[in-house]
Amino acid sequence: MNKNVKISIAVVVALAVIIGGLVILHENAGGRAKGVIITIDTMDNIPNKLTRIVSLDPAATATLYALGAYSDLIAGNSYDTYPPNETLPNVTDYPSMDLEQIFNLSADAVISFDNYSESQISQLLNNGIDYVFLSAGAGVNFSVIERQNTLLGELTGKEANATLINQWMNTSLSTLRSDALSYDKSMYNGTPLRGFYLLSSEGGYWTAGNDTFINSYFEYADIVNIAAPYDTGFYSINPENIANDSPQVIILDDSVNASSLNASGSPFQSSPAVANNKIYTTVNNENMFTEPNFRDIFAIQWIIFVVYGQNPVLPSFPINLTYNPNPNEVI
Amino acid sequence: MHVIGNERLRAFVQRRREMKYAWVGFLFLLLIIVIILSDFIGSVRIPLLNILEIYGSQIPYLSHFVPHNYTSAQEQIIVQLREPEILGGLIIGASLGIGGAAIQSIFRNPISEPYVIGLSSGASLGAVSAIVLGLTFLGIYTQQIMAFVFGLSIVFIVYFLALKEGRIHPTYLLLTGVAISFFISAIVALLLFTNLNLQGEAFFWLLGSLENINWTLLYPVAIVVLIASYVIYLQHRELDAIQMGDMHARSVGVNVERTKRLTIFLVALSVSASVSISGLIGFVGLVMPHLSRMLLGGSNKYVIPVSGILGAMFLICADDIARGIVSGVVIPIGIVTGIIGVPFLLYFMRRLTGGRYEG
Amino acid sequence: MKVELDSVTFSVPSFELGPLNFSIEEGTITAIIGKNGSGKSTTLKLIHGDLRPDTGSIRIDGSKVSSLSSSQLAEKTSFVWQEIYSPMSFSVRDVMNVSGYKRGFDEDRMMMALDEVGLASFIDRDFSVLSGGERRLVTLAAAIYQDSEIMIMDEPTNFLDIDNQILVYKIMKRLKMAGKTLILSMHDLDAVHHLADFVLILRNGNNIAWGRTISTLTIENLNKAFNVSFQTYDTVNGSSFVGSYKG
Ligand SMILES: Nc1ncnc2c1ncn2[C@@H]1O[C@H](COP(=O)(O)OP(=O)(O)OP(=O)(O)O)[C@@H](O)[C@H]1O
Ligand SMILES: [Mg+2]
Repeated sequence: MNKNVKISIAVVVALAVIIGGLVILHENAGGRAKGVIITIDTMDNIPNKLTRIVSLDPAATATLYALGAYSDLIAGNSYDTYPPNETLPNVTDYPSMDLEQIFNLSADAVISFDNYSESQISQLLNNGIDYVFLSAGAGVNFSVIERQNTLLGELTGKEANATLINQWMNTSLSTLRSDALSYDKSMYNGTPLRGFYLLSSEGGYWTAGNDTFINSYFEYADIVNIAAPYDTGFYSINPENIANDSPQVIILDDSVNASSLNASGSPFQSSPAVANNKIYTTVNNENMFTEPNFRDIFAIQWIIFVVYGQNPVLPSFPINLTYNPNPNEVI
Repeated sequence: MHVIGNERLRAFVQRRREMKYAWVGFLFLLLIIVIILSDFIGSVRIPLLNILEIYGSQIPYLSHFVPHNYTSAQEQIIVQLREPEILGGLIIGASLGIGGAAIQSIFRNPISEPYVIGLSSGASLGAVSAIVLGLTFLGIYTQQIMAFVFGLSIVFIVYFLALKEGRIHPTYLLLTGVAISFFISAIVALLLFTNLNLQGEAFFWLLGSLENINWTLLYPVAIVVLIASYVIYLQHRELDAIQMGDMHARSVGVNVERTKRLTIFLVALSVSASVSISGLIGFVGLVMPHLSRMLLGGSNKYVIPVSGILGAMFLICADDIARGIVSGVVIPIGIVTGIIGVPFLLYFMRRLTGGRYEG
Repeated sequence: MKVELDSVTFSVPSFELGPLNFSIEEGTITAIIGKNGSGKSTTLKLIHGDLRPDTGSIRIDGSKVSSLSSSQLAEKTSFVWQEIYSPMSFSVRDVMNVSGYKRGFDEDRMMMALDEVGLASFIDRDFSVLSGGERRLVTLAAAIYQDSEIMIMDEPTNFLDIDNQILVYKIMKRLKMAGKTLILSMHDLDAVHHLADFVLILRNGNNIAWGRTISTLTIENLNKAFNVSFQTYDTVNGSSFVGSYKG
């Protein structure tokens, strides 16, 4: 073995030992207990209530406010809209989260609906911060939303308020459902009434398929979601299916231009919805279509209002809030 | 024998060599300064004194003597977030620079880089299939492991396809690499096409980022890159010979095929390991060897280490820009290296074609 | 070291070489002459093991060239190429260092070799921007620095002015005195006549003549090798060959 090789082996071994030592040192940094991942399936198995919460999920921010746990929030995100006038620091760092600020604020938990990278999540956990994951994709229906309410209630010690909100949701849902079934649908000449939700027309016709909370909206409003049979979750639907199923009602995200549906080549062009101008653009309630939480009740109420011209009466919200949770009434 | 014994000439030659060592030392010092300064950049402001104290606390034995006036959040930010990201930049930048220098020598082509041997397309195939197919069978770092394994495997496939009668002809290897890369890229596109939902996530991997690097990921990659880089450096004489022509290298006693095999394997190993944790970062492997050749001439004794130092410095600075330029957004570092890299490249090309690369 | 070729043939689609049968003695200069494309470089590459013969065998010092490792080969032979071309940039020092790969770095011997071709002050110049003649001399110096027993040179006096041609011939004679075996391809018949001990004459890959220069470099053989008719003219120093341009 020549001298160079011997020296290089020695150098490499020495470096390996040094770096290895550093890693072990760093892995145990702070001496804090590791954080845990919390979901509605793991539920609340943490010893203490959370008091320093970072919310990367606008739906969770709203729920925490309704639960009366808003004071436990130490940071929000750039998508938060409710409650208005948020003064919390924004820790969104698209496409990831701003870990520096989260550490600097000494957070004890981060709530999120998106899939952040495994290494960012393990950074949180290694530094003793819990990660609360609230799904917003496929599989989220009203019973999941209620379980999320319960989880957030337990994490913040507001179980009683969570129960009140869930009871209000259940009463409201059955009211909406029975009212919707009772309305006169002759103007749509034919049952079942076919509806479609268009989230975005950028790079395909993005819609909500089966197993989404928006699909539940249609069900409670007694409308058949034409996108449900083809796929689950939010997806880009084949335009041929739109043309073939010709929706009678279209709910449009406010990012989509309604006149584009009538353009030549549009799969909506021949649909009764376009012919009869039954196209309804979300206004200041568009967040209800992207954020699964208790306020979605008001989205169903709005659909029923625009589609049937009726306004079902809901029980009043059980918790006294400074900012009205009903976006339809803020107008 | 007229000039031999001319002391002036000898002194001149000696001075030239000392100048080169001084350059290498200077660049190394600059790298250390860049590393330290980069520790100050981030969304949370941490005072200089606290950062220095945190450094002190990380040095065994010394830690008892430095004051601890910093908060544990500050320590976490420096030790858990900034240090692995900056050292990641160091390791990845160095591996790309060194890999570029070695590959350019083997191909005798100053506009090639480590990615041309199929490495980048292989790594993307691994990472993108892990993302799109939702694979987790190798734990939470499945994506990184897949990127590494695929990057390495595709290089092996390219190498064996290009092997003719036990020899590797540079042009043939290059063309095979390009062809296989096209093929693999088509498969990657197909994977992305089948799941449009995940295009965003894959897109960010393809553009590269140092943000997700933590100590656990950095450790094995650093070891691989250090060993591979050192062994590549030990080949510097062989690579010098090969860049003058395979036949010439053989005539002076270099085992050309063994050197090529070993170097390609080491570059594939080290760059695959790097891109597995950072995603695809372009231009470092292409531009840095040029820059070092301009500074210190074409001998790989200098080109290899200086490309490594410059690559590390460039990537750390690019990451500072990626993190710091727009608040609330981390720009993928591949975009930054591309935007800075292209004008760099054009400028050097102009200077270089002013004589140097003319046959 | 002896070089022995035994019924060596080599062919590519457009060209066939051989069969070649001759053996080169240690400490001699052998020149290969012939038209462009007659197979001179090919023969040199076969001897150096860069090309494998289709049939026959080539032995250096008794062992088959094809069985030698590049490292063994570099100890026994060096090669001055017709041209070193690379788009990479490197200095004269780099070229010299590379030729010292086998024997290890020796600054004194390196400077001595460069000094012998008169280019010691070129040590840190960029090789790729040197003139054709300067590059030729540097590659010759590199071969001297490599210091192998057998030195193969493909047209070593290309691009050189008269002064440097004569310098190179002197160097060759010195190398021969030092016991080296030189195998060259050359176009300058006058130089071949004065320098070479043995000549191989090729035409279209065929061995027209092989033997001592004195008996092989004859008008008959040359007329067979080239398309011009040769005549002898008496000069002050003796007779020289000159091509007649009458065709
Ligand atoms: N790899 C190859 N493939 C095809 N043909 C080849 C190859 N190598 C050499 N040849 C052909 O073989 C013939 C001999 O080439 P060679 O280089 O030996 O000639 P030469 O005698 O050295 O000529 P010159 O005086 O021009 O250097 C030429 O016709 C050449 O085109
Ligand atoms: Mg030739």
